[in-house]
Amino acid sequence: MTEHSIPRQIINVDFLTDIHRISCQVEVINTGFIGLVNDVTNSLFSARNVYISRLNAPAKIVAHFEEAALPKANLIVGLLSRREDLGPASYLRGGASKVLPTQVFFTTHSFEIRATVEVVARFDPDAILVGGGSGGGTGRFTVAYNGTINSVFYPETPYIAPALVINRTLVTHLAALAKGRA
Amino acid sequence: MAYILLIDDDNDFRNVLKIMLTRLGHTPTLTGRGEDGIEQAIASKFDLVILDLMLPDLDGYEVARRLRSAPRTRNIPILIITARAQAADREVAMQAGADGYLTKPVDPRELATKITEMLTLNRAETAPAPSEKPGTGPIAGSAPSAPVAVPGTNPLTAQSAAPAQTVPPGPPPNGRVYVALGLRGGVGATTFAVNLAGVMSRAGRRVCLVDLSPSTGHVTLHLRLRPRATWADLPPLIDSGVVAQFVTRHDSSVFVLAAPPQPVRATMSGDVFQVLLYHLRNFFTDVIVDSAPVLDDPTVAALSVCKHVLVVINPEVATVQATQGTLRVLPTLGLSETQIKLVLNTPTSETGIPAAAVEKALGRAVDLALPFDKQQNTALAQGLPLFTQPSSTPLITALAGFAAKL
Repeated sequence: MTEHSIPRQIINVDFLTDIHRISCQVEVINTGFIGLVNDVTNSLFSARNVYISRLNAPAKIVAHFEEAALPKANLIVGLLSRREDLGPASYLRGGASKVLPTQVFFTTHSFEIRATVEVVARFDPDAILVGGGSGGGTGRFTVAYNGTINSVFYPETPYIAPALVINRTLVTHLAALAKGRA
Repeated sequence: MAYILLIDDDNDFRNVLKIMLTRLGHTPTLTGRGEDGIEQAIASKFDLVILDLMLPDLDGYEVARRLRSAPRTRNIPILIITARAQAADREVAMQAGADGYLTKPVDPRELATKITEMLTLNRAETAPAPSEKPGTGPIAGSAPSAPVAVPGTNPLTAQSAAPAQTVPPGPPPNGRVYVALGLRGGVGATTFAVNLAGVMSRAGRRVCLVDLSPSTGHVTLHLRLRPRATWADLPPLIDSGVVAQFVTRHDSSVFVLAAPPQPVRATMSGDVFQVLLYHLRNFFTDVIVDSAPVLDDPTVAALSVCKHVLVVINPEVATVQATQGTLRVLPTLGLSETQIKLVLNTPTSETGIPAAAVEKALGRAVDLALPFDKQQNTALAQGLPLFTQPSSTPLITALAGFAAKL
């Protein structure tokens, strides 16, 4: 298949960093959004129609660029409005046909994230944060669903997304909600 | 068929929407820039503006604000369609003047329904009132004409002549009803109801405020509204089309069903108000009934379908005494303890009975304590309620927190 014959799709994404909300469009191929952010051959990816807001006023647009480069290492969470934009289900589930939805609580230095992850057989933090599973593979991001993200510094404006990717190298805590409360 | 202005910088989305709107029978005009969109909206006459929030020159919030501030475009309904899906985006867009909000990717059927709904409501508002003859409708800025009550054709005088109308069978609509009840005049129930409607609307809820007062209701005074018609002008048979023609939209997106401007001898019957509420609940997510300080038929009808009755009280002896009686009566009307919410309002700077003493006298806790706000008198005089002020006051902050839990 030549480069030009690969089907491409534009999807809208909100990325959260420690300080900013970056609303943009990215172009993905048949591996979906998770394929883009977990492509280990690139540390950056390009985005277009990029609108920058600050987390203290997330609805106020402070800058706009037609194109921008986003370094994967510094993006904490990516929020999608549709699950199907993440990528093919078989790819996300690492080949497993049956998965178990599990409520979890992540923390990073600046966010608290409640979400559902899909685990194979049992809750395995290693699979979510280090190894394969949940669409992670060897990539930097892990997949979660139905997430509520609270900024520690601006908790009055939580973010909600039906699908999200979390930079697992920036996660400081992960626990199953069934084993505690948050 | 409607003339629709679409302001979106995404070329593909513009083309898709153009096809969709044309198939629906509308005439779309497309532009990709905010400044250009404002110029076109002012230069031509559009029935609806569909607006993206992320535009290359001006953001959509600013476009909405400018459209709302220009006399020629201030009444055009604005529908936001954006990829920004967070609650904060929606709230700021509604504050900027939007009337509807959809997120991309948008479902075509949902979009078609939303457009039809917004156009219907807007046409109902701009159409001459049913009691006016063509060419004699009130001109913007002039005094409203007094409502004409035709004997035998309105719900006040025709109850016995017209066949009784009942609520259509089937499950009740989804809209929630709240009754603001102060069984002693002057406790600030109307001020409370107006600001509650405002904070709910600011939060993106579609709100209708019904002024049930039979003796010159003050909701229109609070909002400086000139309603084309009031509930006293309602025809004997009510359907959703009739209801849409009788509500008046305030700039804050709160819709108002106004009370007659002069005292009337009889209020609506409970049955008529039940039907009216049924249709309002189909249109709006929240219906707030500012009841008269008496348990008349329409108030009892509203209580029978309400989610909460919000009993407004003052920290003074006579009100507390009246409220003790009210709290004894409400359960006999079928209201449970959890449906009753006590709102302690402080309309003057004078220190009244301490809240703890009020709670002890009433034997229950106050659910919301509203602080005295010295800006309230100015707000009433200017027709700019506190919820419309740029900086939030303690009263509005408390009210917003309360509304979020309702």
